[in-house]
This record gives sequence, C-alpha cells and structure tokens, in this order.
Amino acid sequence: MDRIVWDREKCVGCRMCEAVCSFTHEGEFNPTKSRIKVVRTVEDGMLYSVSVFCLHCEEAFCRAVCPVGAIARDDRGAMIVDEAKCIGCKLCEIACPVGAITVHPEKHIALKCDLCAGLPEPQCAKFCSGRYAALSLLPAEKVGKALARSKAEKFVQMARREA
Amino acid sequence: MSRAGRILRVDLTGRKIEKEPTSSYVKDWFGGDGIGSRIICTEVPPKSKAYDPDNIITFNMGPLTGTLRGGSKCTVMARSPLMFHHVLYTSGMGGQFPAETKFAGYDNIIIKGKADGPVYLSINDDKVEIRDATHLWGLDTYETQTRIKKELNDPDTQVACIGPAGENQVAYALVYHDINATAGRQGSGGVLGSKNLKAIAVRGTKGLKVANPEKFLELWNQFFAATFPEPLPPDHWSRTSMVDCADIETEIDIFMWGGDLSNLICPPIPKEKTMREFVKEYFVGNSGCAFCPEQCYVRINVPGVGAGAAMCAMPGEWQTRFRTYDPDLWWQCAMLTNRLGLDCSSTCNIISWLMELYEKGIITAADTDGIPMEWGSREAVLTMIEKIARKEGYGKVLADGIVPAARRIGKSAERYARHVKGMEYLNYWMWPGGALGMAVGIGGSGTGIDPSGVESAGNIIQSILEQHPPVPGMTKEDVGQMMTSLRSAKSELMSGDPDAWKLFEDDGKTMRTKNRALLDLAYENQIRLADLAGVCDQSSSAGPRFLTALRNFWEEMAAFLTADLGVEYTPDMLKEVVNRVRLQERGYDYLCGLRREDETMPEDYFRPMQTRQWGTRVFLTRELQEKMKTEYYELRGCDSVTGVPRREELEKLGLKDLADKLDKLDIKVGAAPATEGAPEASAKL
Repeated sequence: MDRIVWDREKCVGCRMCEAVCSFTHEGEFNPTKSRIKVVRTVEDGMLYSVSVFCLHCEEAFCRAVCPVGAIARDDRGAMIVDEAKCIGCKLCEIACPVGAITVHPEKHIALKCDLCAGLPEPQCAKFCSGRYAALSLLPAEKVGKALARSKAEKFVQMARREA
Repeated sequence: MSRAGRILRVDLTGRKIEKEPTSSYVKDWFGGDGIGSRIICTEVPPKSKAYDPDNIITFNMGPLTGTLRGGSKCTVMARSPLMFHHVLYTSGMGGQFPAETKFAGYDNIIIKGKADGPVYLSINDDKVEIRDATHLWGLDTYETQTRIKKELNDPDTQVACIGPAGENQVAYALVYHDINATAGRQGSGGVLGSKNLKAIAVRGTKGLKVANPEKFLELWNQFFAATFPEPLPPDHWSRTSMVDCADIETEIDIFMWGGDLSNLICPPIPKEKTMREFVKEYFVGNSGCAFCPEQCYVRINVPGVGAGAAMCAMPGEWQTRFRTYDPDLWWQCAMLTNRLGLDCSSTCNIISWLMELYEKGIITAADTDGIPMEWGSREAVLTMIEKIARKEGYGKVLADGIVPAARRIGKSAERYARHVKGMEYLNYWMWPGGALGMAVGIGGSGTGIDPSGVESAGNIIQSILEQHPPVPGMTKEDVGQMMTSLRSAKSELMSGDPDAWKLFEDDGKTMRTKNRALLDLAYENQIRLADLAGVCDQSSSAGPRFLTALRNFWEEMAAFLTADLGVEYTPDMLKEVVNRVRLQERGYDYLCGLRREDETMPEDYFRPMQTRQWGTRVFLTRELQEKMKTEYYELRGCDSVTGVPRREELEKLGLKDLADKLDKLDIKVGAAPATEGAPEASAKL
C-alpha cells in the first residue's frame, strides 16, 4: 500500500495542505474541515509546526472502537469511514492515537483522511510537492529509508562543506 | 464567493458592536482597503488628529484573503500619528490573523472611539466581545499573545497586539502578530494605544467558497507554475530576505551609511562574520503567512538574545545605520523592537540621526541622558530604543517622530532629519530614481511603500545576485544582463516602455525621466489592486520577485476575481475602482491639509553625492522633482499645479461631494515650504 509521509525536516508550516484538502473535499477553504491538521505552537518567538493526519494504522483503534463497524480498510489499504453507517458517536476521535480524526461540523460524522479516495492522488502531497515536498506519497516499504535519507541530509551537507 | 459578507464595526467609547453587510460597499469600493478607505474618508473629519477618539483604524481583508491565491494578508489603514497633517496611510500585515478573520466571518474590522480603560477585542465567529485588558497592559508582544491564547483557552486563537511602545502612543509603534507579522510603519500601534485597545484576538471556523472551483484551481496552478518553477529547500531565505544588505555595501553605493548622503562610498568594513554566515549559524527555519507558498520569513534563534524572524527591509535597516558592522547588535535591536512593538525603520533612523547630530556637535551626551551617541555604540542604540518605547527620559523628545524631535532640539537638527512628509526613510529608497515615488507616494495613502523604491530594489537584488549567482558560474556581467533584460521586460509590461526604469539616458549622465511617472503610477496601482483584491502585494508584478513580474497582474486578478465572485470582472473595471479609491484618498488628504509642497525629498537629495559608479555630482534637482511630480499629478487625474484631484475626474467616479469640498479649499500655489504640517509636539512632554 502507499502511504502519505510527512517529513518534518522539510515542512515549514505553510498550511497549504489544509487549504487544498478542505477545498477539494468540502468545496471551501476551511481548516476546520480539513482532514490534515497543521498544529502550530508559537512560544518565545519560536514556531513548532506538526502536520497531523490519518496514518491508516495496521491495527486501527478507530475501527476497533466503532460500535457500528463504519470504518473499514479499502483495497488501497486506507481506513475509510462509511458515512451512511457512521452514527457520530465520536469514539474514534477519542481513540485515535495521533488525533487524526475530527467531527464534520455540519454532518456530525467522523472526518478523516481517506487518501483521496476517488481522486488520482492525495491532493495535499500533490500541492506540496511543487514547493517544499514535505508531504509525499510513497509505497509503504520505502517510507523508512526515505525518512532516514532526509534526516541524514544534515550530515551529508556537513560533509560537502568539509570536502 | 469568498467574501465573508460582513463588516465588523466596533465603537470602543460606547462599547458597541455592530455588523453590517459588505455588499453595500462592493459596487464602488470593491473590497479590502477600498472599503476601509471609504469609511475613513466619509466618517473621520479631516481636521481630526490620529489620536482623537474619532480616528477610525481599519483592518481590511479582500475577497481573496484566506483562499489559496490570497494567502493571509490584510492592510491596516487609519489617520497616521507620524505623517504631516496626520494623513491616511496603509500598512500591510500578514501571518494567520487575516485569514482567521475571514474564517470568523468578517471582511473588515472597523474600530473607532476610545475605551475608558485597557481592553482587548475577542472575536470568535459570531461572538464578539470587548474584554478587560488591565492585566495585559505593560506586557510585551510575545507575552501578550501567549496570555490571551491561554485565557481564551484556544491556542489557535490569532492575536494582533501592541507592546509598551503602542501603549505609550509612540508615533511609530507597531501592531505585532504571530512571529514578526506586523503592521509596521506609520503608527498603527500608537493609534491602538490611543484607543486603549491592547489586542485583537480572532478565531474562526467558517469557510470560504468560490463560484467556479475548477477555474480557480486552474488559475492557481498557472500562477504557481509561473512563480515557483521548481521546488525549493525550506531554507530558501536568500531569495527574498534582505539579510545580505550590509555585505554588498562595499560593492555598490546605495546605502546611506549612517545617514550622510554626501558620500555614498562605503568604507571597507572589517568583518569577523558576514550577515549571511550569522543568519546561517542561527537559522531555525522559514515561516510566513498562511496558505502562501513563498514563506518569506527567515527565522533565527540566538541563544541568550531571542528568537523571531528576519525578513523584508528589517535586516537591511539595522545593518546600515550605525556605521558599524555588528550582526549581534542587529539581532538585539530586532528582538527589543519586536517585543516593545516599535517600527525598526523609524527607530533606527532616529537613532542614527542622533549619532550624526552628536558627531556634528549639535547635541551632547548631557542632552541625551548622559549617553554619548557615538557611531556604533551598542549602549547608545539599545538604551535609546528602550527610552523611546517607554517614553522615558530623552525618549520623550523622540517619540512623536523625527520632525517634532528636530524642532524640540532646535539649532540645525532639522536640516539632517531625512523624511518625506514626516516619515523617516527606508534604506533602499533609491535616489534619485525613486525620488518621484518617494516624494509623492511614500507615507501617503495607497501604498505605504514607495513604488519606485520597489523597482529600485532591483539594484540591491542585482548586487546580491552578483555575489551569490542564481546559477553557479554566472559572472557579474551575466547577472547584469539577466537583470537588465528582466527589468526591461517588467518595465514594458507595467508602463509600455522597456526603458522607463533606467536612471540615465544613453549618455550615462543625464537623468532619465521619460515615462518614469507612468511607471511609478503603474506600481502604485498594482499594489493597490493587490490590497483591494486581498492578495499579498509582493505577489503582484510590483513585487521584487522578478519571476512573478512577467505576467499581466491586472488580467490575472480579473480572472481570479471572476472565478471567485461569479461576476465578470475586467481589468478596466478594476482600474476604475483603483482610480476612485486613490482620488478619494488624495482629495481627502488635501482636506486634511496636504499640499504639493509637502511632497518633497529631503534637502540632501538635491546636493552633490559622491559615488563609486557615477562620480560626484548632483543627481536630483528641484526642477526635476517638480517636473516628475507634475507628470504624476496629470497621470493621476489631478491638477498639474496644485496636485488636487480634478473635478471632472472626481465626478466621473461619482465623487462630486468631494469635488465641492475641494473647491472651497484655499490652495495657494508656491505657498509656504513643508514645515507647517508636521505633527505637533506632544503636550505630554
């Protein structure tokens, strides 16, 4: 399966992903309706920015706690909420270990990343790839090495300067 | 359509909050600060002063603010406490606040009156409250934001606030938000301080829709492809910050090294570390306004000094003023003025001027509270910043701006006070090419930056690129050719004349003026269009990123706004609105007391300047200045002698009332020089 990878070495916290996600799926620019959430912390003139989104866990707490079986894995490996079945109990929102689930403010059902089901590719990664490439879609087995390479870049840069 | 639909009206005197529909202004004033401008021009008596309760301060978001194209910028507009006659000004502020305000459901925030004690405004979608801020008064801008977010129990609240400088009504105090998003120049902080308004906190959860989403995205993809042809690493700061300013000084003579314009040949500067090296050492990441791909803020963290962002003019300002090369001092100044809430440009100008006066013996250490104002003295700089912000000791002399300060000092202090209409200059105000824009546009309503200065910033960019070529292996000549070709293309796009940007005729000696006024007008209009539409003016063709220049911004905005608003907009329709807004403002400024004579460059610009590239000569004459001003007035639709908007133009734009008022003004041609409009010395001194 393919996964969206967030590379914290590259992310600047611009929030374009939030704009693109909500615009694509909900037809409006509205971060509260985005399935990817940019969590910003500003303190003492420093910015810490983390992008939070569904990681489509192998053993998903959201599916485990859902009382009506509204969450299931599709053939791409993504955990999808069946809107017709969801009763809006919000247990999945509480259970998710990364905080990736929120409640749709109007439909009052679970809102989470579905890897852009029905679209050619995840839009957040597509829009980010042209600028910072902090979000990308990779085959699951390649993610670990890609992140290792990204973090090793600092050492490679040091070595280049010394060369 | 992505207008939020409502204007928030706050009367601090009566503690009244009202909401009115944006739609009532849209037809003639379109949006953004077109609306703010209309409100101020019709509701604030021209004879009012900036700190009177009836001054109205407006935070203006445009239709595109909060969308992918618009990012998150607003313009703050009010009567300025710094400018002659307290004329109108606009000041851009970014960060998260503008988009958040749109999400809360407001296109403009209009604030008048004065609260009877310290308050802050809390906006949470439909719920708007005026809350007590007694416990916040005195806090710096970093602490204020933290406290309010905690108090409102929502870390995603966006806070724009003043520091001690604004509380003390320093005429060049700023409004601060997030990390270094500011409404920086011309005194927004002072105006809020005079209203006892410590901060505005906003949280919004609503959305913005567009009429034609597919078209909108298609246009955005075109804009993005043209502006950002390749991905960049997150540390792309070298492209749009001005960090390298002092490092290029010895190469070209564009910076007033500590203020003296007679000799622009900078001495060789011993450096332990360049600014670029300093920034790289302490660099922690980029940041910027919400939803914008550029992220032009360069964040650094210097242990023991503090963290924040360097961007835009700020690095260049501190570096070039004190005849010292001192990156450590630069960052200490930045941190201090951030937290106290002071504009870097006005502050460093005034301190630099004191150093010049001290050198010339016009002031002594005894005058300045026992501190010798020696060039490069860290003690002098840092102590004076504090005194200004707190309006203590000698700070009281300086807190109203350079002209009131000069008049308090007396002797020949004013001779060396370099300003236009009361506003101290920016380091890259190019002489003399920028002279027209500076004299007429700077500090005035409509732009807040000098149009020609932006064009002339090309000189700086060229110098930076000569030292750090965009493509490895490019020679200086290659860079020169590339820049010439880009600037010519841009000049042609903006004005129809590919040579309008050039300083000299082909003889390399005679100042070139053909179509200069036209080019300046083109810049002014584009920047204003960006403000009306709700996009960052740096993303217009007037922005310094040359790659963005080679597209027709009028057509681009017309297309975006059509796709967004579901109503057909053409460039001509937008030009008409820009004209209406600018002529209204210019007329209003005349009602406030502005006269042609106020629009002049400082004395030094007319004297000989010694330069490396062009020898020693006079570049700008008063004759030339007046000639270019006259041309600008004519192009703008104003009387060529007085600069007053012409009746025919005003009536065409539906502003007959304004024409009638202007007719009643007693405008003498060739009247008294520009000394009468300066803000008065504060009674509090």
